[in-house]
Amino acid sequence: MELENRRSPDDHLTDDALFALALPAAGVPEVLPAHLLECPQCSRALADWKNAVRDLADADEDVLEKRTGEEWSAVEDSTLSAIRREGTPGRGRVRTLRWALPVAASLLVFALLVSGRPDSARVSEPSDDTAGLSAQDKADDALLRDVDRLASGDESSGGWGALAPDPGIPDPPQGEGRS
Amino acid sequence: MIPRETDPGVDEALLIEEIRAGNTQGFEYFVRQYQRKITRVAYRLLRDMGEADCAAQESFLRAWQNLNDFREGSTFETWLTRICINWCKDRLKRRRLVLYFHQTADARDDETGPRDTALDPDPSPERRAMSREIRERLRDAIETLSPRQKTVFTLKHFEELSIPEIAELTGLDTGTVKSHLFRAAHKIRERLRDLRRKA
Repeated sequence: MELENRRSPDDHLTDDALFALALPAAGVPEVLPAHLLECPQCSRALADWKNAVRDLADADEDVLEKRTGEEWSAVEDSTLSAIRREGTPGRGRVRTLRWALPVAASLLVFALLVSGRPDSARVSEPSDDTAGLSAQDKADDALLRDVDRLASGDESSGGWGALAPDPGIPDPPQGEGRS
Repeated sequence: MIPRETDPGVDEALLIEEIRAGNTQGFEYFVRQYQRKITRVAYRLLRDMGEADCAAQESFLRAWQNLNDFREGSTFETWLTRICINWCKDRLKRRRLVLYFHQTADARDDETGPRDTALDPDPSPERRAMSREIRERLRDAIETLSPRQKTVFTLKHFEELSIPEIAELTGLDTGTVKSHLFRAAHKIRERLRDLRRKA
């Protein structure tokens, strides 16, 4: 803060200068300007500022000192009760871990589920190409594959009897085999 | 100002060791010794007696829960005050958020009473009014500081702590404390710029 030592006696200290003297920004008292020695007006104004600061600090003390000894004891007892409810000291980390472990476990399970989802989706849906096909189309495809296989002489999978049912014909009743 | 006297007959470090070892009743000494001091620090920052009580109790609870983290390099009082200041700073931050969203200032007690008891020896009503105006404006300006600035400013000018003491309590280095102090003073001065001295 600029201190105004070069002032004439009639050139009074500004509010800024008074503020800087009453509440020094650097936290250490500023050098008092010589003008204060000559000017009772500025000297009084600085006293106003300092009084205001001191009064503000003391006002807090007043509020606290209104509390009686019994009231303070009751507040302290309340703190001690809260502490007794806590149990043994030094359990801050245990308390934190008690919360952290389930949270970490939940996150791990979630991460596994999310990362496993595409695999399971692949298992349940063998071909994305058939995703848009109707059941009728899929049955047609299966029948055509079987016919193609048998036409090429491959009867290893049960021969004609294992043909996929004709999609146009309803399933025969139970116990009635194909001939 | 924070009185730093402790009971000379009690070795606090030893007492903490005993508490850790199972003599939990020993913690009562700390509560009886420091509750008022801690409440005052909290009140300076929060300016609400209910919240100050809450801050003090929470500080003791945190100290209790984290007693194993207490290191002998520091005193219990300093450690406890630091816990309390951190709690208050969090509280002030939350309060500012609430203010931001609701755009309503906390109802401040602008009661007269003890605060009117001016220390000014001059009884002139004009000067008394001036001093009161400065005080009120100053109080309002302090409320506009950030939690950290307010903490540093309050500890310096109202608790009259030295900059190294503030640094220890807030966990900041002394340069940062000075910087916050400077910014706080600058901000308050800006807020009081329109205050004209009544000669």
